Amino acid sequence: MSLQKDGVQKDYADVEATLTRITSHTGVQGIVIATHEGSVIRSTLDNIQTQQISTLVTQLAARGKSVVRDLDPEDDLTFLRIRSKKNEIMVAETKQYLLITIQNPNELQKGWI
Amino acid sequence: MPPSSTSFESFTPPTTINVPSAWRKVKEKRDGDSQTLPITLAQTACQTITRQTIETQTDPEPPLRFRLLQTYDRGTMVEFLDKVESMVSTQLLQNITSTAFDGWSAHWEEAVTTTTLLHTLSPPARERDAELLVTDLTWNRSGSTVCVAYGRFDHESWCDHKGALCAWSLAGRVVREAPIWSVETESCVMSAAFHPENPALIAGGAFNGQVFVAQTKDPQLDSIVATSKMGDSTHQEPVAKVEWVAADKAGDYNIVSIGNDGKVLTWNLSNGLVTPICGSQLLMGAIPRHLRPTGTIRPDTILGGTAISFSAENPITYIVATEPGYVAKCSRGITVPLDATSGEVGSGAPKMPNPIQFAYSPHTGPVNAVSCSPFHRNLFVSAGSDGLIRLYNVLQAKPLLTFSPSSQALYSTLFSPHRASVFAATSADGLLYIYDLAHSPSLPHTTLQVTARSSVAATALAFSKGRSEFLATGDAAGVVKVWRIASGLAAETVGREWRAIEALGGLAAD
Repeated sequence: MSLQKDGVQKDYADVEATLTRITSHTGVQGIVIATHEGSVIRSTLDNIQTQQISTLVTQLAARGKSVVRDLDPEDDLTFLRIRSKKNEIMVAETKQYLLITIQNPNELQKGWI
Repeated sequence: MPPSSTSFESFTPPTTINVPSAWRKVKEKRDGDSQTLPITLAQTACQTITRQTIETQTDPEPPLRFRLLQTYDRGTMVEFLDKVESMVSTQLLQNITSTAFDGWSAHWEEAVTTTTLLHTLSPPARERDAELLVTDLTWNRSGSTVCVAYGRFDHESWCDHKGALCAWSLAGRVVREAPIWSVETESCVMSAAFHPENPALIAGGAFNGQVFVAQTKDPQLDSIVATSKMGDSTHQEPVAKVEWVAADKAGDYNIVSIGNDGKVLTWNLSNGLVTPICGSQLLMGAIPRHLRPTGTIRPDTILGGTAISFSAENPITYIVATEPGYVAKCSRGITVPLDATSGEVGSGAPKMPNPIQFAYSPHTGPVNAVSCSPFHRNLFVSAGSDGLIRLYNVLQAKPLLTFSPSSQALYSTLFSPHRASVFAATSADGLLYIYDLAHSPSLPHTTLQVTARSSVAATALAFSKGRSEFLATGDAAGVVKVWRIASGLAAETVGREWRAIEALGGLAAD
């Protein structure tokens, strides 16, 4: 029993560590982990934005996936990037979850001054 | 022999002889009538007897409540993240260094390639007769109303003219000749500024040292809401510039005015402009000796102020431009609070502290305008009567770049509020120079003649914050022209241009 508890805590720490690593990259504005239905598991953005992103982006990712599958039934969507004037949205998905990252690629390293 | 009388006499035949025509026939004719039948008209009237009104209104949407899905299988989550993290990280790192999209910008609107003249606003008859010229221009918050301050620069002693503020609205399809609002003032208006949030309030500075606030909303009330009283602590010389700055209370704004007597005073509308809240005075003492003119100069010599500009990120520091040519960084913290007693005439001028913290290498001759970049906290430009525009970094005394677009004096310069690398300047020979640092670091991007003749100086310039395509210029004939800036100069900063600004704004590596 104790072993299992340790395992769960270790997993939790791993999840947090991974998320921190990803958000510490330059220009990352936020990440959202969601399921295919649109429900959100973890997010580093505020509520309204998270809600918008989870519904809109999951729909778009589903659409992208169906396009890829239609073109070639053996192919599958691995990564979706949408670049806009202000930032870039990256979606990596697997069967259960989606990881949505928003990054501003024009943001430069913040110097000391 | 006499001619016979039967020959060569006029001969009239006894009867007329008719020869009928062999081919001509009498044309047959027949008459007929036609008439339209009478038109039947029917007339009925109708009128609404019962009326029904119904109203709809959208209610603000209740905030969506949503909760994070708490229950999830941690094991699969970790697996998922492991798989996905490396892919996402490489992509993120690649994006920072990628130059794939540099120079690519999707144009969703039609691009305007050149700067074109949209409207010409002529002064009303009174101002034209008094030969007033445009001393300042300001756009309101929505960006479609421009207010013009009329005054003169060539006073010898006291101002006898009556200045004016006039506002034109460019929002409609047709721009009327006459201003939609105007007010006459006791003396020439030297500077005007619209309130940053309230589109109906304008602060103005006059030649006789008064600061006033006017409102454009209600024609029933007085146009001038408040005027400052003359006192020992207020301006004794013309007000060069007024600006609105955020006050301590959120949503409240103070007016800061700088005058040719070197005083920098802060006012607030809450006390009706009776007395300034606090003030400071520019003195020679803070200018380092190697920048002072030769000979002994007393450290309490007043430096007349000509322009002021507040740093975008940190409104505690501001840059001032002075008549002897010095450009200095000052702090709003170095002031002395003033109250009603110190404002009374005869109580003696209160001793005001010198707010200058750092002096930059000076221009030759008076500096006419200074403008801080709204995008980078470290950059500002100054334009002087020596025809030079200097781009300074706040941390360095020597300018980063010097532009010499003209041999004549430059009257105003402003950074564009929409593109970080764009700024404009106007000169005494009526030319408008628009510079784009990302495009070329020495030559202007566009040069335009904004006045009718080159003997007429272009005296004022204003970018519209609300509408990115508008730029207004005013000249010494009192005419204001509104230009549409080329899209390349008006669109938002993206990508590589920002790096050019960052490079200038950060500390020089060497």
